[in-house]
Amino acid sequence: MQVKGQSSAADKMEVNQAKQEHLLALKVMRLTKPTLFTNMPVTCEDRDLPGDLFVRLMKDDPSTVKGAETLILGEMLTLPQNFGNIFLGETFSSYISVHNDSNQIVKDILVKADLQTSSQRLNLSASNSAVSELKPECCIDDVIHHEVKEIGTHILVCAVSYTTQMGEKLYFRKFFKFQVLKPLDVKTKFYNAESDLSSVTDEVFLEAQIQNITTSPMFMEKVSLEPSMMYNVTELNSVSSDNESESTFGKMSYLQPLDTRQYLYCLKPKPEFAEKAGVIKGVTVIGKLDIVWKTNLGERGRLQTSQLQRMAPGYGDVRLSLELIPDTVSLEEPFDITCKITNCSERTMDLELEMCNTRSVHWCGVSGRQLGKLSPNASLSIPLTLLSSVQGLQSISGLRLTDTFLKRTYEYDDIAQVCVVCPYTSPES
Amino acid sequence: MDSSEAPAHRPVTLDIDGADETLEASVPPQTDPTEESIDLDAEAFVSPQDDSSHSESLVDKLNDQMMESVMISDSPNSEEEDVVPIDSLLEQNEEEEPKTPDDADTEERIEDVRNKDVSAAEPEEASGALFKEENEGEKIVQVDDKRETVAPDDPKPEAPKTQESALEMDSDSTPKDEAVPVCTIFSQGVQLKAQALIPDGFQPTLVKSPSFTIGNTETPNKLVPQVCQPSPSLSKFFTDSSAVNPASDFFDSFTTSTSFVSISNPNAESPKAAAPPESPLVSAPTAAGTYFTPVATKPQVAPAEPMNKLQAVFPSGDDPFGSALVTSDLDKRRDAWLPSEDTRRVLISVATQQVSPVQIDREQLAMPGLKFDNLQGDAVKDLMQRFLGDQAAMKRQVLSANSVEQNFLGLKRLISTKNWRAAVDLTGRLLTAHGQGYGKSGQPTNHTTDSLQLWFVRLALLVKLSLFQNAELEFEPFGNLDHPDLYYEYYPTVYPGRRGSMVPFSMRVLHAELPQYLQKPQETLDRLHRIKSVCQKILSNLQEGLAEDGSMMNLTQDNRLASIQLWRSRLSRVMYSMANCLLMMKDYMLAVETYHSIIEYEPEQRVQLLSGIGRIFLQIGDIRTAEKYFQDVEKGCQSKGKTANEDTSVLMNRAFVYLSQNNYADAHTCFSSVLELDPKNPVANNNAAVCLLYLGRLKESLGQLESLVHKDPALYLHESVLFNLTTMYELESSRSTQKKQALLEAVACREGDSFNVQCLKLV
Repeated sequence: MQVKGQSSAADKMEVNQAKQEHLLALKVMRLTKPTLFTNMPVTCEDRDLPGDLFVRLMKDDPSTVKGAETLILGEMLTLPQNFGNIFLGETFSSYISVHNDSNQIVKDILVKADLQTSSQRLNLSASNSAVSELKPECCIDDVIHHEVKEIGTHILVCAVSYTTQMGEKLYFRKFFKFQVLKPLDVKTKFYNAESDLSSVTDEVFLEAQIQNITTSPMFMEKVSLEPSMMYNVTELNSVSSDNESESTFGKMSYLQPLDTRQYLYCLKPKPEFAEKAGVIKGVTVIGKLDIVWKTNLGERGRLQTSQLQRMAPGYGDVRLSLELIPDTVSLEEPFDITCKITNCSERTMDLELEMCNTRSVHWCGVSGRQLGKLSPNASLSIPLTLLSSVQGLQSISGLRLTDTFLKRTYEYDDIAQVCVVCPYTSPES
Repeated sequence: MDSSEAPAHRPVTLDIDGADETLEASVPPQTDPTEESIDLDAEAFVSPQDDSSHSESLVDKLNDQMMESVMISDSPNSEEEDVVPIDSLLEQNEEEEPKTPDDADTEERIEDVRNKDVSAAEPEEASGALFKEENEGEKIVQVDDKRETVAPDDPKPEAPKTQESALEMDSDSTPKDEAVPVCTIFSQGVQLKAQALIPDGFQPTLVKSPSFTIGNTETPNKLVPQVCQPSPSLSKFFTDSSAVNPASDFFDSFTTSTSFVSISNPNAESPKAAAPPESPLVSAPTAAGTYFTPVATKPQVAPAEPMNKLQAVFPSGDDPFGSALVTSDLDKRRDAWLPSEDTRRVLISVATQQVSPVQIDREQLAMPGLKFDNLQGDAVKDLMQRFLGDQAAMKRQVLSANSVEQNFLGLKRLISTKNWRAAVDLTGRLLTAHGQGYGKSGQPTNHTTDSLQLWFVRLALLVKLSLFQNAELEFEPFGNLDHPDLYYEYYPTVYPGRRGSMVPFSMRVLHAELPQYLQKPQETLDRLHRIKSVCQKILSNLQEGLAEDGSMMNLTQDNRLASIQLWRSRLSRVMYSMANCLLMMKDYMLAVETYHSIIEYEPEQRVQLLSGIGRIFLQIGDIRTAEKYFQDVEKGCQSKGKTANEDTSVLMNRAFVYLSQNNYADAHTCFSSVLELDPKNPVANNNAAVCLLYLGRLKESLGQLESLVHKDPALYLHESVLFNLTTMYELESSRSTQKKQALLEAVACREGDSFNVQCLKLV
């Protein structure tokens, strides 16, 4: 391994150069997609001083589009100009070339390319067998591909071992370090279907915000939610009319750097898992997002989120839901709602209902009435009357249930909203 | 299309909550068990070479043309057994590294590279330790902190819970109600500007030659010292001919070089040449200056009244001379322009002799002058001197400003031989002779058709040479090209009867396009829109039976049609500029729309435009839409019955689609079949060679490009091809420098002083 000490083969080595001159040279180049050459049109008209000179210069330039020389985006491909960025989920491709710089035949060449990440070491070489000989000015080529699955520092370790004509075994390696960055920022948010009028549906809406945190535009080829076995999913990211479905993002098929897009999905529990009162509690697995994007000339990337989890809405011991409520009511006129009270606990409860007025909502009837005993999983419906003294969208709050056995009080605020309108015409007219 | 890559694409799991079970579940069974333990190294979050932002896009573009070196590089032969902080990504070319002769220096070199990193806002790595021991708690805290500052809209645990599924949040134990922190790698917006000139990527570490990276900023800087030096000879020779120099010019017509007075002509200084020169172009009658009878020009025109009043004054019917003064239709068509309200007022008052030009406020005048002198130089020769020695450099023969006729003919020769630097010098001399030389900016002067054409050529060449700052400096005194003294009406004695703008239309377009190269694309769009609206107004005037400028004038039908055609082509030129600018701004949707609308004006460019739009979509990554446009091209070709040319564009488009599907083999086949139809097609040749490289066939690719360059240097000594070639030389062998020098020699025999030597990657 101590290459440094071996200097016998390097008779052409300079005196004070301690470094080993190897017969072989290793070169590595990252193969990102090539780019299209853009030219810079400067034109003039026939009667301007240069006459047709500028036009002719542009026509003779091989990089211009013939017949449309003022179009800057040409067809000439140029090789990648720098290492660029590499992002999680993309494929790292690299050209590895071992060239015989010497004037002698070199034997038994073995080229090995490993990728060292913070957690593991992967072998990327296409073949692990040695090449028996390499003539001067010839090279061994390899193109490696690897889909990066980790963020952070990666080191490509290329090792070359070979035998000289003199039979000496030599070895060297080179290290190439690069950082893998994060391409996307994903945030999710769950919404429970607002009014649980029919508690059988138990729909959940998932909003996913996906932000492009790279520096280049990104075409989102696929953003889909793969639901867990308990749910069916409906994607709400296109609007269909006349059999044509149009994306909610319009023509913008791509995300500019730092742009964010919102995707919406509706999840319904499959019938067999329907969220019966109190049955599903705590954390449920919803599914995961699968994201495929493309950038320059089809450079592809793919990521999945981990399983997204959602806290089933905590109903506590007693669940209060609404079975009936008008959407619009008149100002200062009483209206009726029907509440459904379900005992989600394991024991029987003895409940007392208290109604507290808020700034806008005024309950009618007696507060503090006894609802009687309620056994586990049983429910009862109670009609209530109230009125609002304030116009606009009003939140219905102020219901209190007290379990007289345990002297425990449950508070129910923001149960639902109603729109309060003024039924009178304005005094002037 | 993805089938070829399918096996490679195991989904990457982005762990959100780090619960171990989910981790395992998401890992494909065949992978290494350790695989998914994602490194949450705090530094990884801070580190990235964030090079920020869309605003840089234009710079990207520019840098594209600058062409950087690509090699990922390495520290040479590091023998350390275990992973060590070797981060020299700089390609080490042993022969060229005199400073680092031995391993002892490796460390230092790494330091060097790091220093460069710092300038590129890569804060991390200072510790040098690549793989930090994981310290979970601490890291999470850091991430949290960051998030606090970055995302103030931190979701409170309220009813609809915001759960931020950070892509790889690691195993923190309480995923429950707490919002999982999100790591926002790029959120440090501060870095944005610092990086304005750096293209994507790790580039600061990678760039091989320092001159490359700073290429575009450096050039103008280099010129700064020159800016302060007036050329001694010329400025002495031509004394100040500024203030009262009547509108005579000694070189009025460029079309007839014989009438050109060389700059050594003593006339150049004489202010007495009041009569307009007899040039065939300006059909000025000898009676110039006398045709305005006081009667005809009673100042009955209110300042705010439209231009056609002025026209009524000019060739007015009751003036016997009026009809004789009509300039050629061609000139009228070409020079037509709509001045701004203020300018129009001034012009009317000049025409009506209310005001003599002398009285006009200097601030309303365009007073250009050279801002720098002699940019000279021949980078090819300099490189030859450096790499091939003085003797070889002596052989390099290019035309210079001295070696051609000091007139328009000489200028044209310099331009056509691609000696644009010399051509710029020559324009400088000619302008100096005209009294608009170095240091004359801000001094009143007289403009002529030719002086403005000279300015146009000079500025156009500066742009072609990518000397944008210089161009901007010299454009500045022209303002928005609407000063009254830039109109023929301002010089009733010199250009009697001639109307319109002296500023060539192409100069307006150039003026509009310039800011985009200086990171001011919005300014470019503003200016282009202004030009566009004038074009549209002129077109509507013509369609309503009026003259270009809206005056009531009878145009013959032929004349009108010719004029409409001219202005439509100008309009389409402006639209092209807009679309190009939008493309550089990466506003792809608008760019596509604009390109599409050009088809209406340039139906014969339909194929090219549709293909170009398709390529834009490929660039974005939207292959499906690209294919739609390519299909349109194919349909168009089929309906016409294919011609060879159209066939090649169809094949070319197909090749690009294959390329975008990572199918380099079929892409190569397509490019090759283009070559069967059109063996000399340089694009197909070059692209086929590029495909070969991606197929792992370096030697073949290199051989193909090399032979092309040697066989047909006229076509292939182009910077894109040479860049590809030198990149492959670097990849192929340690002796790339010699091979590049051979290219330099080839360039030296053929190319002028405007050759962009950066593509040779010698320095």
